[in-house]
Amino acid sequence: MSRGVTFDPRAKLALVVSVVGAALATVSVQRASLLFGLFAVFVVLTGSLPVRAWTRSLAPVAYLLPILLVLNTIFYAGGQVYWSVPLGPVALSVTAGGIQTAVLIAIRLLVIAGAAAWFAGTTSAEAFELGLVSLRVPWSFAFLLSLTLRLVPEMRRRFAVIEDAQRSRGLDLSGGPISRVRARIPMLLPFFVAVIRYGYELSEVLTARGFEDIDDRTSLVSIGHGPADFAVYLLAVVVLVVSIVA
Amino acid sequence: MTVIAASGLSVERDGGDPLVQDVSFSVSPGEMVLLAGPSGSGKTLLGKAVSGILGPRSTLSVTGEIRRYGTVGYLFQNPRTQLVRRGVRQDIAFGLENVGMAPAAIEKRLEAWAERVDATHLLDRGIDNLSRGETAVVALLGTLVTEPDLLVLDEPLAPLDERNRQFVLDVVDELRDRDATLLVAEHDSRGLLERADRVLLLENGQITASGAPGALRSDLREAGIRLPFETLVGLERARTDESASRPDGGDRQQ
Amino acid sequence: MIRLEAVTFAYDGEPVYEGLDLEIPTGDIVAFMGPNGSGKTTLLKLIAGLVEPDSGTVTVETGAQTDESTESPAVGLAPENPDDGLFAATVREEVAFFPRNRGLPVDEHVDRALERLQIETLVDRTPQTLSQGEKRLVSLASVLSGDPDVIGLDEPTSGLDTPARDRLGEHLAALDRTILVATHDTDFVWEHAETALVLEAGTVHRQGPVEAVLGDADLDVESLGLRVPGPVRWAREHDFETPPASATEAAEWLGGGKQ
Repeated sequence: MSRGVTFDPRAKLALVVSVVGAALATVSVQRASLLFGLFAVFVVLTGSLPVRAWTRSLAPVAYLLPILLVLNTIFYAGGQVYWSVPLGPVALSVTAGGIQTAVLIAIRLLVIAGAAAWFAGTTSAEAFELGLVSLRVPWSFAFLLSLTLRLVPEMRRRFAVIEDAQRSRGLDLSGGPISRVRARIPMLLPFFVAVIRYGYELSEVLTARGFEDIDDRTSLVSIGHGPADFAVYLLAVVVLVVSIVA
Repeated sequence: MTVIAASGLSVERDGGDPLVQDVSFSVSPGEMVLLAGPSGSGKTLLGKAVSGILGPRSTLSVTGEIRRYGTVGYLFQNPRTQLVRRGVRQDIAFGLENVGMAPAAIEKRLEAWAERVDATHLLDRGIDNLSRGETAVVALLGTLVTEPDLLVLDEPLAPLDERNRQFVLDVVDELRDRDATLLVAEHDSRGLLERADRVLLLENGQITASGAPGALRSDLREAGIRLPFETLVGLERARTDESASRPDGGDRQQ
Repeated sequence: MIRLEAVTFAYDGEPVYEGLDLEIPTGDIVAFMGPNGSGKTTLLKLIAGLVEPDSGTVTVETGAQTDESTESPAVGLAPENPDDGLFAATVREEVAFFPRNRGLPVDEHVDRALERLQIETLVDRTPQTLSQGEKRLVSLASVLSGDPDVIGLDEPTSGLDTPARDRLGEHLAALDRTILVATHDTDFVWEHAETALVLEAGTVHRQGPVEAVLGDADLDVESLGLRVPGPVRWAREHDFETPPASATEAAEWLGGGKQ
């Protein structure tokens, strides 16, 4: 976690919020791409998250993009028509306006996902919680929040084990996406059971580890603002102002 | 003097099935009690109920009396679930952070205990790469640093291979040397039988036998608890000695 | 014959096997032994076709044909934790999964599998409500029902009390097919397996009949992270040449004549 420059979680949060806000405010594809490009440069320069890890965490979003592009192009049709097929009273069209909006939405998604991935990849759970606490969030809530962030990899791991167990009894996962989804239906129940069991276990673990009635909590880890953080706050303000004004 | 006393303890599932029935026992300071029982006998539930961590669950009702005269630390059957942080040091410190201990004091206690159980080399590791035995020791350390009056261990040895078993047994020995009070639930008694002061045999939610380990060997075998081979041999000899009279009057000694 | 030739496999960047050559004759109960993390489960998965080797080949020959791991496998694998495989509402549905996937006559295979393991009474029970031992048997039945030529079991004795373990051993002996057991339970291997394979650091350290491997006084099993089987240790401590077949026999030896 501590490689390159380390920032206070609150500064990082401010930057993420402002970048996301800027992405949602822009209406031009060029601006959005510029925002993404600049943020990528920022990630590389600060070195707090290896670029490969960052791009790897964006991979799930990449899976979504083709579908989004197609659907949004059709949905946001407008302007010059390139191709059209009638469907009852309406027509499915690929238009200039549709393409532009779809691309804008896709880039926005990349910016948001990229900023979130950068935050998650450079912030330890403990620092995250302390950041939230200083913003007046009760620690127990912040802790549960950081626990849920760990839920996904844990559940992914448990699901993989279940999938293996069924593949070894002849479950066929080859074939098209539809048959693959259908093949996964028998995995839903043990997975569901695994998730519920995890929930029960977690509540017992938290009781056993003294989670209940905490008055004053200390922390081995501490956070604090350094000079680099003020630069980040400044950057956040600049990004927001530029996106509104320009 | 007791650390914990259960009286008429029962745990039932809504809809009738009694999982633990009318159990009464106590644990004295410095004792190691082995709660032996085959899988499904209710020993995990009993351990959790006695430790006070069976949260208000809609399907289980707990009746009877439990008196605790101190704090209880618990080691879960799957110690991996007990780890809530990604770094070993941070996870072990978790319990102490919760009670508001100063960071410097936390560090000191953490390192003292890690040294006692020979686990200092684990402190700077991440929990994702630990072996099963290492995970068990880290989870144990997380409770040890809170210095509870009673330690309850749920099947600490069962899934471990020989090397890791030894690691955990060494920790148990270290704790015994420090007069810790232990309640260990297991279905495989090897390694634990010779270390326990007292054994409680749990079958179908009821305590069917209790006493010194030596006196309970036969009951344990009947119940299907795994015993060391030497103990089984000794039981066989005791059985044949009873049922036959030997003309030469003695056994061949080693 | 199960054959691995020059198999290399890495998991998450960590090398597990490099250039592994292995031959396992069919029909035996074969134990893969080694400490946690020695690659026992990975070996089972390679043989079952759940994972592909990075290089090299895995061949499972079933009689005359050669099985390709992309088709319905002739290798069934029961997971380490039975709960991971149990998904159906009834035991019958659970056990029917494999034969159905292989296109075999379902009812016939289900009934036969339940019968072999003597769990016919559990047929309409919900798998999640069974005891650990019962779950293991259902897990085994749900692999057996698909009529694979090779059955793989991952730590099958974990959580079983002594009678359940003995029953499992007896059932395995009565099944006439190749059974691969990945385990660190040396006592179970001693009592019920025929061939033992000791794995260490990605290689096969020793392979041979169980008595020869685990009974070999020159093989330091403890350095390989394994425990010496009870009867073997007992024999060494009491200066007997060969280990006793049971505790009863050991008692006789002490009380009677053999020295």
